[in-house]
Amino acid sequence: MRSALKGDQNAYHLLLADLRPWLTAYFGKRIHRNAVEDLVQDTLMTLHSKRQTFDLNYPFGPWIAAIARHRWIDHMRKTLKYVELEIDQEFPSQEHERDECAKHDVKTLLKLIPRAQAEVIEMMKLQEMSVEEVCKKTGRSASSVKIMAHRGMKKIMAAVEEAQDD
Amino acid sequence: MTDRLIEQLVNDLQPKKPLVDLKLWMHCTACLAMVSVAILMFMGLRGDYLSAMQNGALFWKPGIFLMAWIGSLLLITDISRPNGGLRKEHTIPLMAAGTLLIWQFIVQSRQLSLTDMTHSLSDGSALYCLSVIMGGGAIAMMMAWKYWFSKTASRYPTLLGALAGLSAGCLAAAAYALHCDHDVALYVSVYYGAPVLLLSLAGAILGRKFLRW
Repeated sequence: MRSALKGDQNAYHLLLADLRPWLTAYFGKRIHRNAVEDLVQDTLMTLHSKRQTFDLNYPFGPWIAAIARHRWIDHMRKTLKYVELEIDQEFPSQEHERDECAKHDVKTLLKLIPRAQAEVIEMMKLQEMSVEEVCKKTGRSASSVKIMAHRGMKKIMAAVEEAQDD
Repeated sequence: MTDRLIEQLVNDLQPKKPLVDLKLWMHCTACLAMVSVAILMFMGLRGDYLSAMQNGALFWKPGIFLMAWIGSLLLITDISRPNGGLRKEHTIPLMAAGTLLIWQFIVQSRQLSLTDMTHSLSDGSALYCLSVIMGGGAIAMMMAWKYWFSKTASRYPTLLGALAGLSAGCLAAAAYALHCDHDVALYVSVYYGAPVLLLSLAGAILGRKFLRW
């Protein structure tokens, strides 16, 4: 990275090529595999545009890990907003691939919130049940189901924000 | 796709100077010196500087804002990079500035009545003080934004923007305090504090919008 900051293209190519498998593994553990390549590219572009923030007195590892983490959190925020929008609109998404990715990401985050809220979100998002169906199954009113889903999503969002602050 | 992106990024590589904390300090110190010299040249040192030196007003008033300026710069260097985090010990100068202001309130409350203190707020030159600090701070903020903030990548863009406004406001207030002869703590809190707060608020809004990455 030191050489790259001075404009050494060979060193920079070596760095980016070496980083790629590490980033793929990093995101592979956290998000749906279909979105991994996009995030790897996003991270490489961020590294490129923000390379001046690398402090020469400190190691490279924590710096690139912080960038990758930031990109992951950004991705999770977008996913959660997308899921919230879907719950509001109450009609199935046409974007199948994006929907699959969102389902995968939400599933991993459901462990962070209370069981009752997680169940409602799971039914609505992962099992694609309508609000009426969730009401019948849980014995709750429609407004109660919607509120639980929103509160659950807010808690997941807060957990993601906390992860950024750690 | 990623291979092609890597090729493009490599071809696009230009030498880039890394952000160096010391350079930010030097830039801001030069700004402080320039603003102070401009104020002394165009407005002059306060007329009662001898008595202000004796009663300490020439020291505590700029001192409050200098300490807050140092504290905000320390916090700015903490959070300008992706892996940076706030260090608690760097809030000490900000707390010291607050303590010094409270101390002045306590000292002055023995010498002045509440009516005297509130009467100072209706001084005709208050708007002048406010606008000079606001204007000077805005110029300092624009210079620092171009020099430093636009190149950062912080996990806390809103806070970084607010600190940009705070440091610029404190810089202008510290320099202007050399000219201004209003030493009532309430006056300083309101008419020096308001532009500093407004600049911090503007910085927070700008940071939220433009420092995200």
